[in-house]
Amino acid sequence: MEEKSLFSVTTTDIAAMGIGSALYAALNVVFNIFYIPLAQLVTLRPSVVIPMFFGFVFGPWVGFVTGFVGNTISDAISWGGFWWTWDVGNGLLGLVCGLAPIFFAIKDEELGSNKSLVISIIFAVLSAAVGMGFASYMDLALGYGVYTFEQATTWLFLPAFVTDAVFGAVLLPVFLKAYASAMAGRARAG
Amino acid sequence: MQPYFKYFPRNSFVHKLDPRTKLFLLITYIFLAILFTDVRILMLILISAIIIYLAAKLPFKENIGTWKFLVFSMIFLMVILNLISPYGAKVENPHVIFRFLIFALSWEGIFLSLAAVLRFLSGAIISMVFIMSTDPSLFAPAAAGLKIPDKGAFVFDLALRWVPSYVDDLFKTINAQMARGYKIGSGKGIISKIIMAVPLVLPVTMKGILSVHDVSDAMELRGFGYKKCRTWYREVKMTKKDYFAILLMIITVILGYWLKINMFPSYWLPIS
Repeated sequence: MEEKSLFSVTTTDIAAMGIGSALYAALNVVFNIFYIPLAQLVTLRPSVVIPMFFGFVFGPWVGFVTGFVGNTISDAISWGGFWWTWDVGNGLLGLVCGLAPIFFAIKDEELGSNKSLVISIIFAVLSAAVGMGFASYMDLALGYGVYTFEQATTWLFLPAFVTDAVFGAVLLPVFLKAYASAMAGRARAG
Repeated sequence: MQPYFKYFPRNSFVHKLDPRTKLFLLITYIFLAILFTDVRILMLILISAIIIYLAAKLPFKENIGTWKFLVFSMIFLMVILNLISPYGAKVENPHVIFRFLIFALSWEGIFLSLAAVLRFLSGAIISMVFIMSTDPSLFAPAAAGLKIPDKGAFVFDLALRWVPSYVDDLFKTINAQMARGYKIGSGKGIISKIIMAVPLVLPVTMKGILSVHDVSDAMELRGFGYKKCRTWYREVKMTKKDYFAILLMIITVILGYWLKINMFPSYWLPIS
């Protein structure tokens, strides 16, 4: 089994990037465009968990590519264009979450442990802050639609951050636990 | 191959351009739009973007949803920007038209928000042209042509191919769960509503993430990554037209930079 290191890209990583991006794009498309009335919340995005989850399991680069490519594709499908600040912001969701297992030395077998679940909640919130913060304030710096710090905070950052953080913090541990138990039944470790 | 992708095959000048040229066009437009705050220049940029859209023979009718979304969100944005933080970029001594409690409408606010809207619109229209006039199967070869490593281009190709099958999977899961009594939209409170998404999202995600190792095994068995280069079924080629277009864009960017420094350094007001 390959080591989890910061700069190597293995075939497993390539496959994970492809599948993760496709999943993220597909979920975004279904939940935003075909619009499933899951709730009255307009910005319902259970899909944000995908880049965080893939980042946490496969490392920061897989997380980044999953968020970036997935968001690019779903934007291209849904309204036929793309907006790179938000693509990078979505990529950062996965990148930041991918750093957690490296910093806290969580091995693949321990992904379902209590320690890893608590860390995953913290990093879900942190990554939402970093990713959505980057996108919002980059829009501000470039003058896309907003001009003042207050506007960027109230109209871009807070709604995006709160939904992504809440969805990530609730769903990421659930997904990690399910993944850990699914992998435990398999002969090989991820 | 990609039934969900918005691609309109037409016989136009824009369609025949290399995808890389169109990407360069998008970067040019984004750069020019960021450069200026002057509404007159931004209006010119927007009009030229619309001309390119028309030259690509892209439809308005079949694409009405996107246009509605763009126009409504822009109007909404303008109203909000003017109401909440009326002085735009904190202009000194703004020309206030009227004041009502904390709200105030000023000429600066109107023209600065108009500039922001025009900037957003021109970028959005050109990115629409880029996506809708390019065959989706050309994106990955074009990325490889940009000297992006093959592995990166391959990820994009892989992802594009899988999107429709995961969309199908998700609908299958939704139907299966509903047959077991799952009720869409049930659950009280935010947390329980989020938890209600788990039965839909989790099975599809698990199917995907557990197949990662099988897919990577299959790729390795076929020798993926053994050789540095790989070939693509569809190839992209730069023609004389592309080089001419890129030359034109470089001249426009230089001209735009000169105009910005010498003639239109700041925002524009019709009154003094």
